[in-house]
Amino acid sequence: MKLFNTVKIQTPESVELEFVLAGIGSRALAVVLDYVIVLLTLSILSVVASIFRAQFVAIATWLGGGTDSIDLWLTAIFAALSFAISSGYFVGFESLWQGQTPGKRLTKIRVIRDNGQPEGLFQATLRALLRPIDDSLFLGFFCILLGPQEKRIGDWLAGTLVVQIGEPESKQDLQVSKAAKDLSSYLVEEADMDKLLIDDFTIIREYLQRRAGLNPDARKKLSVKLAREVRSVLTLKKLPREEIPADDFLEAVYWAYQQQLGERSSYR
Amino acid sequence: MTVNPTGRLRPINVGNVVSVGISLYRTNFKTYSGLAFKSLLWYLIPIYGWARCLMIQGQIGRLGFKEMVREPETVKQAFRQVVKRLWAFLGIAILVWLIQLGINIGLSMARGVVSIPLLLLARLGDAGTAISGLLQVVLFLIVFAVQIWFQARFWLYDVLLAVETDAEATEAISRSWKLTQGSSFRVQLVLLIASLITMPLFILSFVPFIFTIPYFANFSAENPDPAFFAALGAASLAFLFLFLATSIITAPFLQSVKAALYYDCRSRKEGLDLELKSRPS
Repeated sequence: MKLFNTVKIQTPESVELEFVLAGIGSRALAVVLDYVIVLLTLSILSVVASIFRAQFVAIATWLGGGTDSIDLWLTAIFAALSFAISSGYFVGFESLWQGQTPGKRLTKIRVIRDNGQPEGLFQATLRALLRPIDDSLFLGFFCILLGPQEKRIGDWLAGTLVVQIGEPESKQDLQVSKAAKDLSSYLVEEADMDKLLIDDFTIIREYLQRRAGLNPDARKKLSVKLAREVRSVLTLKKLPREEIPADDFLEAVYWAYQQQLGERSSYR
Repeated sequence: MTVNPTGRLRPINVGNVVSVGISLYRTNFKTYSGLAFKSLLWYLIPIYGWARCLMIQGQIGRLGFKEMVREPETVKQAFRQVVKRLWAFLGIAILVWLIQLGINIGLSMARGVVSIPLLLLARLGDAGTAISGLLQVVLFLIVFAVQIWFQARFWLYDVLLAVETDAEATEAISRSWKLTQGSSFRVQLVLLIASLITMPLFILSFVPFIFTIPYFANFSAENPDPAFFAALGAASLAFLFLFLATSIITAPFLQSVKAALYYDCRSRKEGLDLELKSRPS
């Protein structure tokens, strides 16, 4: 089964791109975060407005204008400002930040056009203008939940999709201990390193990257299990020492594979 | 992508935990909602029925989890596993409830003690009253945060009971505690999003009452209109029906989300997703 909805886009150069759709969870969280920010901004605005209102009215009366008309004007300006903030927030951020608002940035999703291009001012405006309609009676919510492409009404009209940003693979170098490096040279000579698939290497690397976050007991079990499996894959009968910590062994395999990979690519 | 070579999902963010829960539910909608309907019927029978009701909820979680680790089970297979500890579902639920009750009593006592100086502060004039009121609100928020912090730490126990059938039943509580260690905030966010998503359905079940508004407008106490009571009765019935239907629909959703969260905690804390591809030998 598929845990995430995906969508394939054909570019004019007939390159096929696959995107993972954002999913209702991330979209709900993003919109909550954005609404909190907008609400906070609006409440700050109304506090400031109520502070200055009396002053403005006083100035206007002093200048000889009527209190009633200045009150109306202030209300109108306030309403216009509120609308500008609540819609402008989405239009501004989405068109300046390539389809992201602060909420979307935190949840790692972004808006793109149906053809895969970044969202522009036009699309952002349409989406923002239709937001109230989507919010009323949770129309947008049900459209996202039930539609195959997770589009709310604003997305249908603007021709946009909300997709996940692929997380870049962490490039940080792993710390490999001295003991493991020594062991790795033994492995290169004695073990059949070619039997280790790139998939196995990925898992070992992932374990080494994530091991600090694991529960101590679980980490011990997992490292021993992985080390045993890797050892049988490498058809390694003998080890230089009897007792080698599983972590050291896995680091050594990682290091040996990495070195070989480096050599292979330098031959090319 | 977020998937390992063996097809198991890597740790995912909170939004995706909820989305995965939804897609688990969507692909198994008939099975899960059927089970939820059964569990609601069992709920009507005291004690034994309650145990069955909780067991079925755990069963839904187990089915979801097994699907995520790519070892899918049929409803019957899952049933054979969970029925072995039928009474544990009720017993542990009561135990967790008692623990949370104890925590809440402790918290309200602590809150009472802290409130005393605040009440004294309120007597020191207007400024004192204002500050005291503000501090009371802060205190309330702190107590609430601590409460949901504990709730989040215990949340996974029923899926644990249903999945880890080899372990002692009472271990489910401490396992839930351990698995959520350091991720309490994540669990709370998941709870928040999940309840936000179920909210529209619950709100919509109140819609029948909208149709009684015209009757309220013409209502007079001296000369009550029988149509008013008829409308109110019909609306209440419709509400009850919709509310029950919503509960049946949303319960499996929460269990699927819980299954996804349990999977995520286990891959984070125990590296469940990290395994070598099995080779043909």
